[in-house]
Amino acid sequence: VTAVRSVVERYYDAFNARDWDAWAALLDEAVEITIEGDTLVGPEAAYAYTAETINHFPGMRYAVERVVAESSDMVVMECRLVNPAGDWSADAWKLDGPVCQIYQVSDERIVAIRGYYSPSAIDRTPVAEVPSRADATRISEERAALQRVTTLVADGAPPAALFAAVTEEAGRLLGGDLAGMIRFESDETIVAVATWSAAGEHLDVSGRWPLDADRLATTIRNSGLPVREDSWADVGGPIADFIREELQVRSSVGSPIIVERQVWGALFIHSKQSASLPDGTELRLGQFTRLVATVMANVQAQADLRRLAEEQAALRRVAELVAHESSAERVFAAVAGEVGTLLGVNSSAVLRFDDDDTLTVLAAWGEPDMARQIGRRLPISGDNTAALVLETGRPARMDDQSTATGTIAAIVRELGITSTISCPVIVNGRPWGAIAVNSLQPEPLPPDTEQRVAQFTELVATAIANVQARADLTASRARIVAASDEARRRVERNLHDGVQQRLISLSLAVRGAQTMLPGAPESPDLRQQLSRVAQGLVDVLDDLRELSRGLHPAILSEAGLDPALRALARRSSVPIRLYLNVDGRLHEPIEVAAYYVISETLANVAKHAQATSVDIRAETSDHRLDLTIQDNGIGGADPNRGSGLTGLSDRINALGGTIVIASPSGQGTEVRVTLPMPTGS
Amino acid sequence: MSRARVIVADDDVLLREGLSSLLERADFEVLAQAGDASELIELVRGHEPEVVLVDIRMPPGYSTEGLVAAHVIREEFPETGILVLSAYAEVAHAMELLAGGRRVGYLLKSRIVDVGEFIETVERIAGGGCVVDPALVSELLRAQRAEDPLAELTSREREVLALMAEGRSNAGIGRLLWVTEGTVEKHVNSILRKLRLPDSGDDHRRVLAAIAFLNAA
Repeated sequence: VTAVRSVVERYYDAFNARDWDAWAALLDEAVEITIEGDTLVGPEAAYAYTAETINHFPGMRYAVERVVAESSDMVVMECRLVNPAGDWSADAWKLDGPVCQIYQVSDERIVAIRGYYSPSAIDRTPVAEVPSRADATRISEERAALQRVTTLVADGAPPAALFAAVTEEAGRLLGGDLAGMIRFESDETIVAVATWSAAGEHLDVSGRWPLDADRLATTIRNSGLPVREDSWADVGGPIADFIREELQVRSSVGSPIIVERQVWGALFIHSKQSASLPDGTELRLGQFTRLVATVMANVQAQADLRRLAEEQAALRRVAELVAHESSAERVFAAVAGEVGTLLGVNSSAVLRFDDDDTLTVLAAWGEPDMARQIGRRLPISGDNTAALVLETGRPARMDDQSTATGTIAAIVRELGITSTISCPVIVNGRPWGAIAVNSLQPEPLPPDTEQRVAQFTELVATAIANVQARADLTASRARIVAASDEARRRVERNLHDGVQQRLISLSLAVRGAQTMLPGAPESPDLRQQLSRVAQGLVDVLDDLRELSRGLHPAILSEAGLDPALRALARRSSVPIRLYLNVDGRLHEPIEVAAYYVISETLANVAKHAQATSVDIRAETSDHRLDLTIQDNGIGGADPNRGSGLTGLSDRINALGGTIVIASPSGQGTEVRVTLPMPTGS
Repeated sequence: MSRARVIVADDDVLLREGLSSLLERADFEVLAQAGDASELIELVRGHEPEVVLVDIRMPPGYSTEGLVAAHVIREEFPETGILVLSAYAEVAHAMELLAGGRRVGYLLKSRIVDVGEFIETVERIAGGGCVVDPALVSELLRAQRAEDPLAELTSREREVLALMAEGRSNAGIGRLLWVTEGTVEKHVNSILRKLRLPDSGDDHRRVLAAIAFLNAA
């Protein structure tokens, strides 16, 4: 991420320093630069444009205000344009205010730049020649109408208000009976975003209209050019029927709204009069659609930005949960909530596919009372999006639940869900589960929903893989610790029950041999030798006892932490005060971990701390064991040095516990350990 | 005096045999040998021995079966002396055994090797005394204490305290330290006063009190 940002920062630096070699080196051969809807391709075109700008504003440079958002290949910067000359107008151009620029970077090269000025900062309306008085009136009316819309935009009105205003202004100004603005959806449908009627009420046109049913709209979308229909009488299809029969329209003119080289939508004027709409309506309508396009480029950029920022924030919150090793349950709950809120759907859920053709609802969010669904296991078979996801490994959508079969479909209907989408969570190449989003509204979920949910499925998959890896890691650490404990125990047992026992038997045999020797004076050497062997065996036995001390203390498994710690304290070279409040026997790994933490810490104290006393506290409460080992030594212990402490952390972490070491210089060392105890132990 | 009748319990046949022949040579009568705790209890019920020597760790669990057996024997035959042998010295085990009553001993297994001392220990238990392994007592005495109540004792008193805790009678302590029983008594009284221990006038209770005191301090 920082690499992406650094490319952009170098780009600004090169521009400000007018170092065109460095500047051009940062641009990809096919770089696309889009400024206010105009697109330049390649470094040369970029340089020509830049040279022109600098020609107008010689001292102009960029000052980065803030990084609005960034990802692994994108960064969104907000800049100020600094112009020491102070004059911001030249050749009917005004250049002022904050600039928002979206950079796309690949391999340390900028591949795309999209720049937007805020609505208040741009005014590129050319000063027009006025040919006649009638034209002057018309132009001034038009400019007034456009000005009203522009003011609306500058005041930060929401897009819906803008669409309504533009549609109404255009309808009035161009003498239509009806006007309507439509938006092309990515799934070959049309949505009416604003309607106006000279007579007041406009008939309800809400919902999605299939694009192929409308000749006019299809032509606009495919050509990007204005269209005209002077007689609806001959046109077939459901929309034409509606326009002709219900709206009683005789002629229509439409103009495309082109945002970032895409036909975003169109504005239509309809007339019920017998005379067709006058020539030039297309051109005049075009002024309004261009205004909408310009504003939409900004609105869309801002919406994109906001969406990007919101999505990133949501993803970051979930990622943080994963990073902080939260439980999988918390991650799933967070994902359900974030997806639901971000997409503005009515409900969402995280589902896991189980081996027996059922799924488990791991997390659920939204209405009506989705929390009740958590933990349910449901048979997958039947008509539902989860079944489709499991079958195809791809996102699935159902916008009609009325005839669907199976348990899940029944529940979906019971919840009042109309439209539902599931996206697969792929873990280790297999559909592990799905994220589902649901709508209770009459219209289906927006067409880009699958794509937006998919961003989260990747994160969930990563989280699951992480959680799984972490669980595996913890389990394997626990196994390693348990195996080494078992080894110590075995060695202790072998020493005591095997070697020691045999040595004692041997000693007894030697003693027996001694008694069997005749008391005759002829064998004093042999007697002495046997005596030496016997004494040697005694010495070996003593050594053995010393040796076995550091091994697994048998008393720990026999009688628990309390006596084991007392024995440990007795053998410490530094005086110990014990404050033990341990309730009976604990889960064995906990006892062993606590014992080794304390014995290892005491060994460290004896070696490094120069302490004269150590306080050891051990207390059980509320399903956990708290240990504190505090000495009065010189402090300054470095927890990162010494394998002893690392080994302890491993042992503690393997049990899901925490260890904190505080060792301020001159103030002794305190080791605090908390170990969670499994319930019922 | 008739030969003291004993039963030996240890899961290691070699050691059991060695121990038995050692006891036989020292003029004990070994009535039987057991390989585990339940066999021992059966044999004790059948033979009613004067002393039982039992390994603390035996089948099936190899944990503290000997100690458990000692409890059962103590319940059923309060007059039977019990010597528990252990591979390592553990205060908690000694305390548990001593708390059960008199005529008990807790000894490191390796003590067997010092035959004379060992036989004397068994005789002391047969005679009604109690015995705690010196290694255990010395560990208790050596323990570093932040506020050491033993600091008030003279070095002679420490010696006497150690021998008290090992289960020696005043006469026994006198013999070992080459002083008269009267002198030992004076030391003992001084120790009890300094440590605020009750004067029970009973060797077994004295041992229990001393060990408990050292363990708690």
